[in-house]
Amino acid sequence: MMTPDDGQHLDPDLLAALAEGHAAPDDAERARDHLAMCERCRGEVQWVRTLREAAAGLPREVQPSRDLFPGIRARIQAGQAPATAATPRAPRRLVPRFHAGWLAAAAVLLVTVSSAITLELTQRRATGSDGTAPAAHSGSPGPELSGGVLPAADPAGTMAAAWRPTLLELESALSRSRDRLAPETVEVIEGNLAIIDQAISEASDALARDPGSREALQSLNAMYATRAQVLRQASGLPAAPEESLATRLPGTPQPNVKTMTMTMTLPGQSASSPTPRGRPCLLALAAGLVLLPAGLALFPAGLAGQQIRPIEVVRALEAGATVTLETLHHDIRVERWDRTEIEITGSYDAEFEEVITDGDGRNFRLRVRPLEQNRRNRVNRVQDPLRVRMPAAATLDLTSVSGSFFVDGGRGEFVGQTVSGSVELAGTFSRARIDAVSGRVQVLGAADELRIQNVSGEIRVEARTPRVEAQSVSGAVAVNSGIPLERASLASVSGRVSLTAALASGADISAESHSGDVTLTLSGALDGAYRLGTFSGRLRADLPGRTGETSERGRFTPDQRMTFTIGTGSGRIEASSFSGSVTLRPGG
Amino acid sequence: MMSLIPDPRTRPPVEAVALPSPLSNHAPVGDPVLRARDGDLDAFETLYREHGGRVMALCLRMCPHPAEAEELAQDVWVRAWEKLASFRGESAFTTWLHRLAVNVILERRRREGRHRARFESVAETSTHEALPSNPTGSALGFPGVRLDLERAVAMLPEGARTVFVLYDVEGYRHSEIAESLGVAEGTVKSQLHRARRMLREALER
Repeated sequence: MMTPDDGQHLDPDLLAALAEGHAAPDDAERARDHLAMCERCRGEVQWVRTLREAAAGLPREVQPSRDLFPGIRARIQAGQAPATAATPRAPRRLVPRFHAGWLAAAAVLLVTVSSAITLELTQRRATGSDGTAPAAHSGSPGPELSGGVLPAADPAGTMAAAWRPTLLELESALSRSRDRLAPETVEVIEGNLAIIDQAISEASDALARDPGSREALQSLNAMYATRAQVLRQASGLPAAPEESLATRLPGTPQPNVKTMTMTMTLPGQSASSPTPRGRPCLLALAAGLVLLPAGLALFPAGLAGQQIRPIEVVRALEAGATVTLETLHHDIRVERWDRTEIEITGSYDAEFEEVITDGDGRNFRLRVRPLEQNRRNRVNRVQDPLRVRMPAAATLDLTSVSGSFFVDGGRGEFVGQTVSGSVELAGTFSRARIDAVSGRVQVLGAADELRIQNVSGEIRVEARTPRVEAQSVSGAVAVNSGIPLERASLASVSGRVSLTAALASGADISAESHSGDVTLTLSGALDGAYRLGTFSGRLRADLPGRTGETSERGRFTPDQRMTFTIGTGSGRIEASSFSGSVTLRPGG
Repeated sequence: MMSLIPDPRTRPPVEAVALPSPLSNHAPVGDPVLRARDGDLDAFETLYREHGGRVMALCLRMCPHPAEAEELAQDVWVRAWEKLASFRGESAFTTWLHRLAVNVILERRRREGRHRARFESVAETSTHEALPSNPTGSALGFPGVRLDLERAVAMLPEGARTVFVLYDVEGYRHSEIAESLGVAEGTVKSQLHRARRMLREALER
């Protein structure tokens, strides 16, 4: 239609239709005369054509900065729901985080058991648990199997056999790279594997006593999945950096190729990825650190004269800038100020390491890294932290191997990764994501969204946050949210899990531990459907207004489950522990 | 293993982008898909190796923060694994995957609650808004144009960028985009005009 917007020009929809070649013939006919005379409309049609051609010519494929599949595989095997898991209000299992893994395991078990029976029937031969079970990762993402699984005579053995090929493969991969790992990293990894093995043996024992226990089977599978994940991360190496450089989209800092290649052995491998995230990435960091020769720390101090030099960097930043800092050993202390520039001070050992800055006022990056030629025979002896002062709104991305982070103030996004360092965060962040291995993580202040993963360290959150996700293997997880909590997913293997919160209406809360107690102290909008479960612990719920309470025990096992509803049941609250107690009580 | 820098000439001609199934390459439902559907994670990895770059490209354009885009891409693949059982082979796997990817991305955005606010705030299309700066100074038609365009797209406001990417880059229809976003078709069109106008200002300055 030719509705001129000011009496002279063609309607934008018609111009677009003409440019895209699908204007109705009548309209096209009538437009032709106008186009012949009107340069502006002609230009508009031409522009849309040119733009669409250019758009069509954009690369259809872009490689990520690192190989994403190890992380995908780990999540699939660990049964972790995707971060977007937005399956609306479907009935949910008791142990959410390991759900898919559980199903996969159930499928494996079913397959294993069925095959065993088939073998038995067809070949009249006893089945051995000699590692011939199908690989654990052959689990199907298919339909729910709950209730349909035949109890195997030896479920723990069957499960172990099912996981064995995967774990063996991963262990041999790790042993190949072990000599490249720094001793402290090996220690961290081994210490944590021992924790997981302890959990495996507990769950196996329980399953041996009570072969029908779903809780125990579920926990056992979750532990195997966690073990596989830790092994995979510890032995995994990131994608070649050249790849990521070649395929990066513009708009992010472009370090030079030489720098990139050298960065390969640096923690985080993040030359091409300003904010590497996630535990896989973190352990890639551990694995990266690992590439640093173990002998590095053995070099006799004092043999080479130190060349301690100051770091003094001041840069103007644009609003909403991203600041990335990477270092091997420095602690990083961040304060915010109301100026628009960033100031970084500290010192480094010029004989051993170098300081590289790149990027611009939008994406600024500073790295302290070992010199290529000195990597094998120098050890850093600088103990000063990097002190950073920067605008509050800037996004901050910190990576260190042994350094700790102390961040005071801030309004932007925060991403921090460290292996043996701890993290203390205070400020008001839009999002904060922290990955640690053995350090303690503490968050004060406020964050719209928090995601924390730790292995052996404790996680403590005393912050105003509506959404929090926190997981540790052996550390305790304690969250106290000062504002109405909308979503929380808290988990630990051997640590206590505790949550103190006022719930927002329709809150989605899950808290689980393997051997630790789970305690939820709740107030606010308690309206919701509650599910509690344990294998050998105790269940207790003292919340007011409970209706439709059911409490069941496994017919042949000590499994206990409790469900009840408060109000209309709009929220979902789930808490479980394998051998610990689960307690829900009213808060103040 | 695909090449690192895909040849843009392998793109379909412009007319073809208006097809509803932009990524459809009419690939038959091959072995890996069936095997992955049956729970074979190695087969699933094969699918990832083959199609990972396409998913990543989409995620990066919809969400120009590289680390977040990588996280999104992982979410897409984990979801693909979970949903693979529902893939019936009625469309090409690439088409199915692409739609799934779009849904995962939009879903995440909805969850984060930013989406609606952005869409509502831009419905009126102010005439004075402009992208922050001319990315490089060179205009369309010159070498490097794709890089400039990529950069300029990344700087678009989220609503305009989403519609531009889905319509002009990925080739979805107005109606499909409107449905996915839960907005009126008119809103999609006005966002598209807005995106195109802002890109013109940014690239012709």
